[in-house]
Formats: sequence, C-alpha cells, structure tokens
Amino acid sequence: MNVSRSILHNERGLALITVLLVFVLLLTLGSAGLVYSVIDIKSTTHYDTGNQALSAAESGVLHALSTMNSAGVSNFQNDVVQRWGQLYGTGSKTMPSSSKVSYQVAVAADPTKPADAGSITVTGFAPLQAQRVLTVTVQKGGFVGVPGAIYLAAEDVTSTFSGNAFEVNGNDHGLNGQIVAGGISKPGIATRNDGVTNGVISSLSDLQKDNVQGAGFSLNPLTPSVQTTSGPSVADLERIVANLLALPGVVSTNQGDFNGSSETLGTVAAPKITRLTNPNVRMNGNASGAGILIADGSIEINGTFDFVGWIIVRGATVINSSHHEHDDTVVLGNATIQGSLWTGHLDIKVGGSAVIDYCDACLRLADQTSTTTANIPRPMAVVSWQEVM
Amino acid sequence: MWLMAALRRLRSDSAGFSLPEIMITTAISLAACATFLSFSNFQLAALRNQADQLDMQTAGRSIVDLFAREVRRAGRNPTCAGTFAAIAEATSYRLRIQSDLNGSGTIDGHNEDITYGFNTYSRAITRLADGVTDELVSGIDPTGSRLRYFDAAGSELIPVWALTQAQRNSVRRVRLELTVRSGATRYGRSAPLQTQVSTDVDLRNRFFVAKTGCP
Repeated sequence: MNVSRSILHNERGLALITVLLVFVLLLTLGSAGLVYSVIDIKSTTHYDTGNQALSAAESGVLHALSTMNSAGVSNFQNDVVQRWGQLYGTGSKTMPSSSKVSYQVAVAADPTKPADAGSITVTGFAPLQAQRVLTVTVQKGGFVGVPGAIYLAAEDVTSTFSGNAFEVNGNDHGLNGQIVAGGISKPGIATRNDGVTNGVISSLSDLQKDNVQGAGFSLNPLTPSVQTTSGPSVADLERIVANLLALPGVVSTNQGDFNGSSETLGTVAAPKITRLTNPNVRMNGNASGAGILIADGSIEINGTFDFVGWIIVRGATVINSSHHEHDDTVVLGNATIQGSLWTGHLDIKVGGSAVIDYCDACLRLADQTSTTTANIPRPMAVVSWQEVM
Repeated sequence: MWLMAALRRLRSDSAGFSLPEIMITTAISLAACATFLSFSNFQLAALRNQADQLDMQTAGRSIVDLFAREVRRAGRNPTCAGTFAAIAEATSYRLRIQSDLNGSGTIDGHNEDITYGFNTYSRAITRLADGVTDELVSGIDPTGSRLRYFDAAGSELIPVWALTQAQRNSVRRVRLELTVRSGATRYGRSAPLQTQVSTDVDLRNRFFVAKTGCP
C-alpha cells in the first residue's frame, strides 16, 4: 500500500516527457528549417558557379582571339585551324584567379568559306559540375595596317645605320608622299622584343636618331621611333609568304639584274604581287612598282627604285652600305618605299638617301589586287555570340 | 469485513484530489497546452513562410536566369545577312528580342523571336515564343517590377511609351527588376511575403562583337 501511494504522488516523469516532446518538436522544426536553408544555399551556389563557368568561357573566347590575332590571319583554315594545337596548346586552361575554374577551346573553319570565317567554341567549367558553352562566329576583320614602316620579325637582329640622309617614318603618309594630317602613327621601326629594340636604338648615332620618326619619337630627350610591338615571327612570316604565293595572279621572276630604264613591278592603277626568286637581285636602273614585292633572297638597289605597297625581304636588308653580303638587301640609290618593309633576316643595314615611309593608303592598295583581296594579315573579328543551351 | 474496512479507509484518506486542486491543475494544463500550441503554430507558420519564400526566390532566380540567357544573345547574326532588329520592341513592361539562332539569315527558327511581358492584370510574367505563351510566374508586384534600358555610356534610356527605333538600336544593357509577392498575409506577419530579384544583362552581340566583323 505504501508503494502504491508513493507512485501516485510521484510527478517527476511528467516533466521529462514534456521536455522530450518539446525537444522533438523543436528538433523537427529546426531540421526542416535547416533543410530549406541548405536548399537555398545550394541553389544560390549553383547559380554562382554557373556564372563562374560563363565568365570562364568568355575569358576563353578572348584568349582564343588574342592567340589567333597575335600574328594576324591570312587564311583562317591554314593559319589557325590546322595549327591550333601549336598556337594555343591542348587541354583546358585554368583561370589564374581560381584553380577550380577552367575553360576549353575548339576552333573550326566555316565549311563554305574556310579561309575567311569560322567559329570558336569554348566550354567553361566551374565547381559543382557547372558548365557553360559559348560559340562565337568569327570572320576576317577589316584592314588594320601593319606594325611599322620597317618591321623586324627576327628574335635577334643586328642593325647598322650609315650616313645621315636616310629617313624612316612611321607617321602615316598619303599616296602623294605627304604626311596625312590626323593620320595614324606607327613606329618607324617595329620589333618583336625589347632586346632587338634596344639594339636598334643603340646602333643609331645621335645624328641619326632623328631620322627615325613615328610613334614614340621625341626631340627632347632625343628618342627615335623604335618600339616593341606584337607581330608575326619569322615562321609566321614564312607562312604569310606561303599564303601570298598561293594567291592567284602572282608574278614570279628569276631575273637577277634589273638594268632597264623603266622596269615596272606593278602600278598604282594595277598593283600586283611580284615574287623575285633570284637569290641576289640587283636594281641598277630605274625601277618602280606597286602592290606586294616578295624577295626570296637579297635586293641590291643601286639606281632609283620607287615602290608603293608592301615589301617582304626574306634575306637581310642593307641600304647603302659600303659592304654587303650576297644575301643582303642593298639600297644604294634613291629608294623610296611608301608602305612598309618587312624582313625576317638577322641583319639590317640602312643608309644612303633611302626613304621608307609608312603609308596606310599604299598598304590598302597592296591589300587588294585585281585578282585578290585581303592580302595583308588582319585580325579575326567576332560577328556573333551565342550561349549554347 | 476487511472490504468494508478498506472502503472506510479510502473515504477518510486525505490524499485524493479536491475540486480546487483539479480546477487549478486543469487551468495550468490548459495554459501550458495553449502556450505549447501557440509556439508550435508559430513555428509551423514560420516554416511555411520559409518554404514559400524559398519557392518565390527560386522562381525569381529561374526567371532571371532564363531571361538573362535569352536576352544576352539577342541580335545574333552569324551570316551578317540578317536585317532583323535585336530589340524589336521595348517598353517598361514588354521586351521583344530576335536572334538568328540557326544561321539561316532570317528569323524563322525555334526561339528566335521571344517576347517577355508583364501582365499587370493577372500579375504574371509571360514568355511568348513560337506562338506559345507561357506564364512563368504569378504574383508579381507591378509597382516593383519593370524593365530598364541603358546605352553604351551607361545612361538610362527612358521610354515615353516605348523606346524609339534609334533608342532600341543603342541599347547595350537591359535590367530586369522583379518583385514577387505571396497572395495573402500569413500568420505572424502584417504583410505578404515578398522577394525582389534583379539582373543586368549586357547584349553580347552588341558589345562583344567587333564592328569591323561584318562587311
């Protein structure tokens, strides 16, 4: 009887049950709330990583454009698509800001016009398996000119300047030889690296420094217009030449000596692409030309030579030097080159009364002959953008 | 005899509950139950509100994502031959965009002509594409939802009624501002649930594309 009474009076178990019930209720509600919060956070995080993947893909597009445009494009199929592994590499690239965000790039030529157009497809990757795919259509853009009045494509160049009568000018000149007011200004001499730039500058005497004018030129302090720019390498130059030589209407000649009184290699009215295959070309008479002139070896100009357009010398360049080798380009006479002179050789020697002026209009003339268009390399431009869903 | 003695003992036992004791106990129990139920209801309402808020946020986020993806590509013209307008119509409550997705040079394919609209009567956002109108979300607040347009300099292009063609041609960025509200007030709240989302969308085919690309 005493035990029964004790049980009836004992109320401590009720408190325990009540606390347990409240605790279970709170736990249930708390867990549910936590689940909702986790769902919300996951949703936000996925949205965020999706945007990261999109940004990575857009970075990939810019990276691809920068890569293919560093040397300009003559033929998209040959210059870019076939060489993409060499130009850009393979595999995915990681974003510098985050090792978990990356992108992969693929390029393809347009089936109907592979030389001029194509597409870049970039897949951006981010954490949580986020992925975005962009496809941009690219097309050869407009004419943008060339790096400078003289462009040195080699990585190591020995330059020599003699006399004080030569002129190299990167300021834009018209077809009439006059400076174009408000025209573009390019370097008088453009190079691919600072070593060559410094070498060219140090090879100019104080008297000669003001003979090289254009972008970056100043009289005080006296600074010649010699600058490092982006541009094609020697290998790129050879590829550009190969593309040019594959164009229709190229006139090739193995003539070594041009001794006539009026040798003509194209005119302003009818510019053309001329290839000089002889390893030692000598221009002793009066010659003129317009369009594109490609010299496989050296050119020695002893007479008068006026050229409007783009000259590419695969041998060395020597202008009015007292001494020259057989593979040099030698301009001993009154050479006037309006447009641009490129060389991939290791030596350049400039002197005499040669005038090499950057001329945008002249290069535009060279860009289009009667049988060809867009001869000068140009950047690929994006014409459309699409996110593939 | 022993049974009678036990009953007498029970009747005289003072350990039983008196009426006041039962009433007080009942009152305390009811108060405890009421408190518990009130607390429980409040928690459940908060949970429901949280779920509804999450639904509204998810819906808003989904619409923003879809809108951004489709507006971002407006004006795609890979052949350079298209003569359509990237933005064919633009008001504060309606946006019609066109893109040549299949590269045919004309607007003739799936999802190439899309119109987003705010229906102020049904308080819904609609998407019209390929002749089919879908209601993307309902319960939008017309006063807090609108479309805004900006040019390349970042200046807002304010439509009198609708943007002119010249204004539409200069749009570089579209801003979607969206406020979604629940239908009624909830337990423990004096106002309906509300979520606000917004996004700025740059038209990639207007700023990413080089002007020199198409002849």
